[in-house]
Amino acid sequence: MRKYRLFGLINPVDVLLVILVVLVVWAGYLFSAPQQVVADNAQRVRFTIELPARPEGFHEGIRPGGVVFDSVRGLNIGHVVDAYGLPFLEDAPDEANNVIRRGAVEGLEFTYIVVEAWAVVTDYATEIGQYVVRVNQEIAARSVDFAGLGFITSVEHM
Amino acid sequence: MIDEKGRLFKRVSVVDLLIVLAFVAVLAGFVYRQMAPSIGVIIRADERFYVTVQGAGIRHFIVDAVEVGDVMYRRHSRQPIGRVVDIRVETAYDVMLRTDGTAVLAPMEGRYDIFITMESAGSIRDERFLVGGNDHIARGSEIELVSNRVFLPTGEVYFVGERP
Repeated sequence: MRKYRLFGLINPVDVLLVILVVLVVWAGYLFSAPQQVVADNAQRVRFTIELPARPEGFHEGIRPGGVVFDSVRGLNIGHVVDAYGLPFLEDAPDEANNVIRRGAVEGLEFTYIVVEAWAVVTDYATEIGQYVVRVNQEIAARSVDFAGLGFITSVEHM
Repeated sequence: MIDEKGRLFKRVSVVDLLIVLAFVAVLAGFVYRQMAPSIGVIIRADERFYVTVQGAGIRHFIVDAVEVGDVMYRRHSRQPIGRVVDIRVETAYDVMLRTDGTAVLAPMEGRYDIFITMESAGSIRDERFLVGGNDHIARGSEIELVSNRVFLPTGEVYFVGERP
């Protein structure tokens, strides 16, 4: 069978193999879990993670000092400095007054986890290594004391 | 012109040439999309105008994260839209279905509509307001905004014009 070569020189299968190797290396870098390296221009930031509808008292098991990871990529995104709980609220119609109220749900809490980390802050983003933090961003986080899906509710540049 | 072996002028394989042309066409299309101005007459460039984006039904912590002076970007293109010059916050409303089968527009406790006005720099072509060369900002369009502290995924352009 005649061998096909691009311009008589390059085997297209070789080109595909090189592209595949580049993609695998890139994916390995993207999904690796490097320890947090402090860049020269880094500054300390604090951000708060809100986990909704946790059982009341859930925050009591979260100890300060625990390392927090992004559950999707395994990135180290800081350590816990505080954890607290507030009543979990849901929207509920108040037909008598034509108002949609925020009503507390007994037995459930919003768990708030305050995390501190080193980050590079630009006009565009606050980056903790490869992880970008912004208020209202969904986050899947875990430590040895918790795991959950929630939102970032505050970002403070210190 | 094409010999029995499929070579143009007995030198270049037609198949090889087609592959290269296809690659060049894709590359040219990408470059054009990124850099070339759209068809139209440039009336003014580097003009200042104002864009107001509305975020509806948001919670207080998002309102608190937006400040005058923040630079807001369009999330998917990383194009700066402008610097925040004014913030207005109002009570959010939503449709409330009642058990008697009626529906009313009811205020939402703990939720807000935010109106973020930004001063933008761009160009005005054929009455279209453009930022970053080709990014057309039109009233009513959906827009995802980010700054270095906040993400507003469900913004809608409420106003765009030469005066706020």
